[in-house]
Amino acid sequence: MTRLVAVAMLAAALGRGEVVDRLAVSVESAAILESEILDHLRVAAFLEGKPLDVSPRARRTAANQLIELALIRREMQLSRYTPPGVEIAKPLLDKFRAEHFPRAEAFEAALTTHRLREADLLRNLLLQVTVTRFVNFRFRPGVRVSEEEVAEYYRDSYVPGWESVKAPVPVPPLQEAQTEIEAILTEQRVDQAMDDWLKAARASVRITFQEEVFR
Amino acid sequence: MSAIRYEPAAQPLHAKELEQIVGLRPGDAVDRIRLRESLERLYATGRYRDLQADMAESGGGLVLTIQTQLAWFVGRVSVSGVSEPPNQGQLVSATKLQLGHPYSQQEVRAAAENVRARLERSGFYGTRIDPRLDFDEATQQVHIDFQVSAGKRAEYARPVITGAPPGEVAALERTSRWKTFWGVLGWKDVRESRTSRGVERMRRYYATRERLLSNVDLTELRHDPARNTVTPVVAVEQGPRIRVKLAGAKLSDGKLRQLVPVYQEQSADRDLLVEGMRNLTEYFQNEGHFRAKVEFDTRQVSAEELEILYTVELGPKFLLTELEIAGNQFFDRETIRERMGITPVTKIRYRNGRFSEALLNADVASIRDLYVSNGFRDVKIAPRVTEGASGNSAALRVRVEITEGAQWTVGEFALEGVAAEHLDEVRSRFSSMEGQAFSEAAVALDRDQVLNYYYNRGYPEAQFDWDVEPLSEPHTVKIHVKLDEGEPRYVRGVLVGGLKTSNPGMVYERLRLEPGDPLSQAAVIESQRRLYDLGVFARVDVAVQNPEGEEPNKLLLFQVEEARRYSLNVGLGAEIARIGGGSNFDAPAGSPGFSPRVSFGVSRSNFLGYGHTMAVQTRLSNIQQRTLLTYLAPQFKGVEGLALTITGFNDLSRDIRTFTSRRQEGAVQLSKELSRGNTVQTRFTYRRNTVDANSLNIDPDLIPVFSLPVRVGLLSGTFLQERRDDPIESRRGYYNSVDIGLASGAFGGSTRYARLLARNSSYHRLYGDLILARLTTIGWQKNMNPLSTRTGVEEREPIPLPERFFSGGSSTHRGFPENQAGPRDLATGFPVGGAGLLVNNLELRFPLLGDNLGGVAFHDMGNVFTSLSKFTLDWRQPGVTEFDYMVHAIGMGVRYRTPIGPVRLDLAYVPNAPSFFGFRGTREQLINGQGEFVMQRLSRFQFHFSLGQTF
Repeated sequence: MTRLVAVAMLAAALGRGEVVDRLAVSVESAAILESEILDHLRVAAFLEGKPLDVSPRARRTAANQLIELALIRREMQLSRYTPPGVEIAKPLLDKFRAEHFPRAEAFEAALTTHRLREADLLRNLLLQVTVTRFVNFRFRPGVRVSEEEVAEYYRDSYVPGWESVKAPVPVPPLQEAQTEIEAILTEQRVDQAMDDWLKAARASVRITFQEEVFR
Repeated sequence: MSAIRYEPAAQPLHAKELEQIVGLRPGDAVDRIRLRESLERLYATGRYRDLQADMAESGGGLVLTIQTQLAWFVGRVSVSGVSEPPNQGQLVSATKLQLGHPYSQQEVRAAAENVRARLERSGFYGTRIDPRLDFDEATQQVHIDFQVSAGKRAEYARPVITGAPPGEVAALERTSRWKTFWGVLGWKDVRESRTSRGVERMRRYYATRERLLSNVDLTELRHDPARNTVTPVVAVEQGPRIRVKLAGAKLSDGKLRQLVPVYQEQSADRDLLVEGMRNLTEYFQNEGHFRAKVEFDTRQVSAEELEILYTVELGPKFLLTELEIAGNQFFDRETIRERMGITPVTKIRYRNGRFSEALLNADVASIRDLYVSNGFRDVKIAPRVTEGASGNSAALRVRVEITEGAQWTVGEFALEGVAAEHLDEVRSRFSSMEGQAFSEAAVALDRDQVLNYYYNRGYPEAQFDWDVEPLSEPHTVKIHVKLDEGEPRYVRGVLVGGLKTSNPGMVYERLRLEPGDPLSQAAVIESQRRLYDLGVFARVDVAVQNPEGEEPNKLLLFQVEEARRYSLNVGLGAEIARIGGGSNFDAPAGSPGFSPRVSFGVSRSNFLGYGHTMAVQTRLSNIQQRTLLTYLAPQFKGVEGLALTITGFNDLSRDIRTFTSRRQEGAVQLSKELSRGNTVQTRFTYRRNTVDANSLNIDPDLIPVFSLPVRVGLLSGTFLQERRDDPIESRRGYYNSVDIGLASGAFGGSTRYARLLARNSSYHRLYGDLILARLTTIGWQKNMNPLSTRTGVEEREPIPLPERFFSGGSSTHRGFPENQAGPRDLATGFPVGGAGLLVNNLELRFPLLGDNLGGVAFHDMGNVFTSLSKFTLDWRQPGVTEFDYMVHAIGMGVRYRTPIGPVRLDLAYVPNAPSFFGFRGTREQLINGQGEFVMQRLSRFQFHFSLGQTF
C-alpha cells in the first residue's frame, strides 16, 4: 500500500501514468502478477532474514515457484479439496514472532523495512500449510514402503550415516529404527511423486511468461 | 481512485460485466491486494492475453487505467490447395486445432507440421504450407487457412523388405499391390491408406501361413526427391509356424479360428490361450456338454514350429430340461426370466436349449443387480445344477434359489447447496427419497437427472456429491446430497461458420439459442441435430469459445462443413411373382414370371442454399418404366415439421394385367407433423392417364370407352397416425391413415369422383413373443361423372380403369396374385377394379427357431367390390359373373430376420377362390366372335415372397 501510494503520488507529481501492476506469467487462465512475485520475494526475504533480491534471476525463480503453486491450486479445485481456514496460520505466525521478534516494535519495524503487512505473512503461511496438507492428501495414500526397502535403506544409508555422525554410540537395531526409516522413505516418495506430478502438469498446461517483467 | 478507465475503450465485455468482475469503483481506496485480485479475475475471463494497471493523477484524483490486449481464439480452420486424398476433414483434424480454444502461434506452427506429416504420408513431399490468419476483432476469432503448395504426388518405388526369406520377398511385394497392373504400368501413386493396406496384406500373408507370431512393420517411407518416389521400408520377422490342434472333440477349422483368439490377434501369449480355453469350454457347454473341460499345452515341435494343443474332455451330453426359480417374492418369475439367458429345451424354438456355466453366472449376476438396484442389498442368489432330472440321465435341472433379505430404504434424505428457485425442480428429480428403496444405482440415476437439469439451464459446472450412512432403525439409511451449482453461463451470441452456399437465414432459424439464453446443453445438442436434419451438412461442430474462461456470457460457435450437393444412386433388382403370361388372353390371373429392374437417380441437395432437394429417379423394368422428378422443401418457410413436395412423373406400367397405362402427373403436397406421430398432408394432383387400346384385355365393345385419355384434377388430404413401437417389425401400438380425395372438373379434370381410403392396424402382444397383428382397409369411391345415354341406358360415365381400386397380393390380400381381386371383365376374365374395397388381415406372429426365424399364421378376408352398396360378408361366390363376395385366405408364412427387415415367404390357401369366364384365342378372334370362352378359377394356392412384414 505504501509503495502504491508513493507511486501514485509520484505519478501525480510527474503528471503521467505509472505502471502499478501487470501480468507477469499466465498458467492457463490463472494470472501471476508482477506484484505477487515481488511480494513473494519480500516475504521470503523477511522469513529467512535475508536482504531483498529483486534481480531478474530472483524474479524468474519466484515466478517458477508461483507457477507450481498455481498448478497445485488448480489441482485442488479439480479434486474439490477444501483448504483450511486462515486461523490455522495464526499460531505459526505467533511462533515465528516469538522466536524472531520478541518485541512488537521490532516486528513492525521489520515489516516496514520489507514493505509488508502482517496479512501478507499470514497469507503466505496459510498457503504453505495448505500446500503441505494437500500434498499429503493427494500423494501420501499412494505411497507404500516395503520391509525390503526399509532394510536396504538401513544397510546403505542409515548405518553409515549414524556411524559418521554419532559414533561411538552404537547403531540402533533395525527394529528400533524401522518407524523412523519408514517416515523418511515415505517423505522421500511423497516428494518424488509431487515432483513428477509437477513436471507432468507443467508440460500439460499453457504457461506464458511476459518477458519484459523479467528483464 | 476518482475514475477507472480501460484502454482501449472498446472492450469485449460489457461495462456492467466489467464492473462486476473487476469489483473496483471510483471512490474506492487504493489497495494493491484488491487491485491484484481484480486483475486476476479479469484475466481469468480468458478474454485477454495481457493486462497492465497504470495510475495517474487527473483532475485532483487518481485515475486507474487498465490496459488490455485481446486474446484470440481459434475460428474456422481450413486447408486449401491439395487434392484428395487426404480430404479436407482429415487435414483439418490433423491440425489438432480446436474450435473456440485460445489461439497461439506455437500451436499454429505445430499444426502446420502435423499437416505436412499427413501430406507426406499421402505422397506429397516438399510441400510449402503457409498459414494465412484472418483476425476478426468483433468476435476475437482467428480464422486459419493453411495454404498448401503440394506439387506432384510421389509414386511407390520397389519396397525394401528386410528379414523375410529371399524366396518370399517377391511374393510380399506382389501382396502389397503397390504396382499398377502387376507392374506393367509401373508403380501406383502413394496414399496413406494404400500404404497401410499394403502392410496389412503382408501381415495377412503370414497369418494365412500359420505364422501367427510374425511381425511386419513399416519402419520408414524413404523419399527420393530426384525421382519423386517413395520406398517403403518394411521389417519382417516371420516367426515360427503356429499350429492349433484340438484333441478329444471335433470342430471345424473356421469355428476353431473363431474361438481361439490367437488368429485374430496374431499373437500366442498366455492370456489369449487362456481366453481360447474359456471360449472352447463355453462353446462345448452350450452344446450340451455341461461337464466339458478344456486344457491346453504348448510344445516347440522344432525351431520353426510351435504346437498349441487344446485337449477337450467332453463328458456326457446334457439338456437343460427344467428351470426352477424359488424364493422370489418381490419380483415375479416373468420379470426374473426376462433377465436370464439360460433357456430350457423347447420342442421347436430351442431344440438344444441354452446353457453353460458362464451363462448361468451371468444370469446370477443379472438377477443380483435387479435386486440390489431395488434395495435388496443383502440378496443371495444360489444356483444349483442337478443332473439326471426327471429320471433322465441326460437331463439337467437348474434351481435358482433366491434369498431376498430385507429391502433397504431411505430413512432420511438431506439436500444442500440448492438455490431456492431450483429446489422444487431438483427435489422432483430424486427417486431416492424418504421411504423409497435405497440403491447406489438409483442414486446414480438421480445424479444424472439432477445434473442434466442444471446442464440444461446453463450451469455447466454443476457438481453432485453424496454420501450415505446407516440409521439406527434396521435397514434404513440417510442419504446426504451436496450440490455445487457453480456459476450460471449465458449465451453472449451464436456464430455459424463454414457456410459457402447455404442461406444463413435458413441456418440461424434452426438454432435453439439466442443471446441472453442460459447456455443449455440440451439446446446446444438440439440445435446441432436440427442443423444435421437439414440434410445439407456433412459435419456440424459445436464449441463454446473460450471454454476455460470464467466469464458469465459465452459465445457459441457452430462450424459446419457443407455436404456434396450431388449424389447418384444405381440399383438393380428383380420381381418374382404372378406377373407373367404375356399380353394374350391365356392367363388373366397371371402366371409366375420374372421381371428384372434397373433404377438410376441423381439428386441435388441444398438447392439455392435453402436446404431443398431436387431429384430425378428413373426405373426400368418389364412391367414399369418411370421417370420421377421431385422437389422437396423440408421445414418449408422455416416451419418445423412442415414440408413441401412437388413431384412430376411420367410412368408407363403394366402392374395391372388388364391394361398398359401411361400416367403423366404433377403434384404439390404440403405435409405437417401436428404432433409426435400425427401428420396431416394436403395435396393437389393433376394427371393424364392414357390406356393403350391395344393392351386392353377387355370386352372389345368397352375398349372405345376405356381407352380414352383421361385428365384427373384431384384435391386430397391424408391424416396419418403412427403409434407403433417399430414400423418395420411392429410388436405393439397402432397405425391409422385416412385419405380423402375429390376429383372434379373444377380442377381441370375430365372425370369426377370422390374417394376415401382408410386403414387401421393394431399390434398386441399376447404372451411372450406371440404377437397378434390386424389390419382393416376400407375404400369407397363415388362416381360423380355426368349422366350419359351412350350405351342406350341412362347411366354415369364410368370411372377410368386406372382410377379404380385394385387389390390383392403380398401386402394386401394374400389370397390373390397382385391386383387380381374384385370384378372381372365378363368376356376376358381380366380384373377391371371396383369402387369399393374391404380387406381384413389377421396375423399371429410367433418365434419359430432361435431368435431370427419366425412364423405367422394368417387369415385374410375381403375383396374389391363393384360399389359400396355391394359390400357383403357372404363367402360364396354368387355366380361366375359375380365377384362381390368375401374371399377368405388362410395360410402360414415364415419370416427370417435381417438387418433391413424380415424376409418373408407366405403360402395361402383360398377355399372360395373366384371362378370366371376367360377367353382362349387371339384379340382378332375375340373381336370377330370366334375363339372359346373357358371357365377358369384363380389358384387356391398362392405364394408370396417379399421383404418386410405384410403390415
